[in-house]
Amino acid sequence: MSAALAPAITPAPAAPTAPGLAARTVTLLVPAVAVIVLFMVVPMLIAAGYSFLTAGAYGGVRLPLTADAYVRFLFDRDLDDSLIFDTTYIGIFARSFVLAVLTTLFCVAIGLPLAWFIACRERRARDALLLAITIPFWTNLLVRTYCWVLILRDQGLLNGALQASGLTSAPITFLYSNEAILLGLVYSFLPFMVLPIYAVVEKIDPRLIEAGHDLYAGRLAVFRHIVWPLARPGIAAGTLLVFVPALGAFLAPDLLGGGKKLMIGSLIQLQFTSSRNWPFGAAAAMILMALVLVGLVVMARRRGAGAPR
Amino acid sequence: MVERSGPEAGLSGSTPVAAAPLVAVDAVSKVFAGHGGGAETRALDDVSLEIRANEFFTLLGPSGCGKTTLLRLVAGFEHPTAGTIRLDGTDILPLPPHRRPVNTVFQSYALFPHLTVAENVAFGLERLGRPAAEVKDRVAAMIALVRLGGLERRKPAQLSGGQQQRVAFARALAPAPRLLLLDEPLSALDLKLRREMQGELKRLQRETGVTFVLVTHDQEEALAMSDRIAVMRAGKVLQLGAPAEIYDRPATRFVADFIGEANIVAGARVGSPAPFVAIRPERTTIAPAGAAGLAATVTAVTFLGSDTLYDMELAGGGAMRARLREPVPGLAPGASVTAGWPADAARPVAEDP
Amino acid sequence: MSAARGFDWRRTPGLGTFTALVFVFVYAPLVVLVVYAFNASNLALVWGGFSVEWFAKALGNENLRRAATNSVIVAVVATVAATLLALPAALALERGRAFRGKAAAEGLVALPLVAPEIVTAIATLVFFSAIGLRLGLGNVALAHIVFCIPFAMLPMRARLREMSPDVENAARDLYADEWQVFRRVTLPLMAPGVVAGAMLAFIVSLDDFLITLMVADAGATTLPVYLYGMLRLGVTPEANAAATILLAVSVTVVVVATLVMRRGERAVAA
Repeated sequence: MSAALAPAITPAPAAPTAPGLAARTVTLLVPAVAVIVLFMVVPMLIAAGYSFLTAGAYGGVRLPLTADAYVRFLFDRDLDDSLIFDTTYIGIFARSFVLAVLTTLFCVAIGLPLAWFIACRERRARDALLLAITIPFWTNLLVRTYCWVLILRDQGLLNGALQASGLTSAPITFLYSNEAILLGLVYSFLPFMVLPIYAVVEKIDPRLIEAGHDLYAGRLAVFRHIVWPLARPGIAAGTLLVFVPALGAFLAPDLLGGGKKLMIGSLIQLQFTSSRNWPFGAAAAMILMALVLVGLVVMARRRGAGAPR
Repeated sequence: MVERSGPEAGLSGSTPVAAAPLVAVDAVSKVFAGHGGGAETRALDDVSLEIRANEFFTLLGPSGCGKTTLLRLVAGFEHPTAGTIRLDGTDILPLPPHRRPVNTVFQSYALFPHLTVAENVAFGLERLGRPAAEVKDRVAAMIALVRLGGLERRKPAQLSGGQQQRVAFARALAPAPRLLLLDEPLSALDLKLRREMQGELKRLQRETGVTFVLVTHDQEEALAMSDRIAVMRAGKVLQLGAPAEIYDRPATRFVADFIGEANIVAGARVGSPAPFVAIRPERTTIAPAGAAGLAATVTAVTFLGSDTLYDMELAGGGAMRARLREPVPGLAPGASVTAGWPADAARPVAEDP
Repeated sequence: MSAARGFDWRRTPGLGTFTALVFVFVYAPLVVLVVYAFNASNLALVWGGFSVEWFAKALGNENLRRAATNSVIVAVVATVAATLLALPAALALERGRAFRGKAAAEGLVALPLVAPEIVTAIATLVFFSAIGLRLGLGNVALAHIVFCIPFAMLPMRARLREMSPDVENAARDLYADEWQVFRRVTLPLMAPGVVAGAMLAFIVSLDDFLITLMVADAGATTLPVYLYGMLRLGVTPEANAAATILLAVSVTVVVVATLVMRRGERAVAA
């Protein structure tokens, strides 16, 4: 009754060999990689080239080739063409660096307990809390930063509340300070820290926590000796995700710092708009990119060294 | 003997009285609330039992019988819905797990993956604030005890399953607990290694003198290692006694069937006042049809090497199995026979609660 | 529950309160914005009653409407293109064979995620200026496609990772060729990941500000860039309304994308 439906064995004309499949893998990757190389890698190389050119009068660049853009970071050119050591730009880089470090620290301090709390909840609550922390992650950064302008400005919510309650009589200037920028940066990038830490602590075997308590570790000791070391890969990933955009941030220094407290991001942006010094802007961007790449390499090294052999 | 350097936290005032049990579980119930509107589960139902100092005590039962829950209540990871648990006469329920002089060997071992073998073993001692020199000596002694010398600097991921097991024992024994809880510690090992570790476990208990409470669903393991066994089912303790006692005189139908193998026959059919009688297959006999006993038909014959199994269907319904040293020549499926047993082989057993 | 519930390591005292405060920190500013946008009064601390006046005013602004239309056009083009580019790349990275340079390819497709936005922005600006490309909105769309690719790929790869390759091998065992395996098994199973990826690409494009600010010509302004222009001129209720609209669109898309992805997860788990 049952006729053989399975195909008769015929010698395959060309069995798919491993190199053939690898070739197909490459083919599938080509379009995406090509687009990114053409519209991102090549532009970065061109920008690197621009950083060695001379600024055009109305933006753009012209010859001759020069390293002036890089020299400008350290020295100001005096009237008689002698170089004077100048800390303006070093200062901007230092401020950016310090603010990015502080942002990262605050995000860890808030993000780790938060991620641990979420990971300890039951499935449904976990999903809901995770979604709640993800939503700001995907909402408009401009809008989110602007919200703080509404709260912090002289006629804003905070000053209004302080004056209405009689605590102050005149508005306090909260905006245009390093603290305001820091607040905006932490607010902007907190989800970038919570999510990778959560991804790691959620996978910690609950038995390890119980084993810690079983072996006479109190809550603090369990945190210090078990949760913290096991959460470190997540903290490292989160640090990268927070530190890099914080270092190059534009909106927080622009809206909350009022363009007075410059950070690298706003400095670069200025060179391509009002300052019209493309080579200097490109040079600043290249230095920023170099810092980021160094960070990536260090992180990858540490991850490689930390992995069990 | 290992000197007692265990934690005194919360229990310092108590001195063991000679006759008093080490652990007294009294009328303990545990109800788990259902998740997402599901029904609640009664994992433990009014359980009372006592564990004596220095014994090897086993909680035996099928999965879901509540044995692991009872263990977790003693360890402090769960809190009972009702009842009390005393250790050395002190109520330990108000104490968090890190203040109970009780250590656990987890089913999955739960070794800290980021710490070395030596650091894992030292963990409890360090949390207890023992001086570094003492910790060092004690760790070395424990690693020697479980025969892991030379592996001190390895991480758990670099060890075999059996080695990880030994680290788990050393880590839990290092603080010299009053009580060592073992949650199916051998279930992840293959059969050969399991047999080997059973002997190892007995040795560890003998050498340390620590009271062991083992949770297992493997009745052979329980019989082989325990001083006393509590057989559990559906949140209740059905019988508590020495292995031979439980094997020879099972209290209920379930115990008779779960510990070893048993033919269960309604008491009325064999003239017993008990609800059921249990007969071990090795004590069951086969006689020609018409002899005194229960008329039966052979349904299967299985040759096992040393023994031969005869499966029979009773004339009045029900099945029986005989395990004979010597096969009966010519006895094949379909043959009519009589199943019988010596008078002392039929054990009266009660219906399960 | 009563106080006598015993020790539970999952309940750290004070952590619940801490978490609640963090969520207040995260959401309160957004609530402030929305309340301002619906407040009939334009004074900070005075509630003048519920009003959609500022929304009407914002929507009546022809420039704002044009910017919103530009945003949608760019986002749709970037979403379609990025999804079509990301899908084969995701398959190759999750299901393809190892080959020399795979790690490099992996790094390249992640580049838009790790490069600071300002660097991408000026590099793209410099590139378009160097090759003299002036396609108006086309320039913006091109820039968006690039940074949308890794975002579109994230959920696709996550989805492929949790799908057992056994199902695809079963299809091969049942005489399906590679195209049929993809068409009949892989694609239907990874569909929630593709949908979620497309939605992420859509909001990432819709939300982008900095790259668009640098790349867009005068006529190719998107909504965030237009909004930035409004904000520079001062805080106005109209700007609050426009910001609220942008916020509402992002939140809706994220929630829908998450639900699609979760429903898919449940289907695979079942």
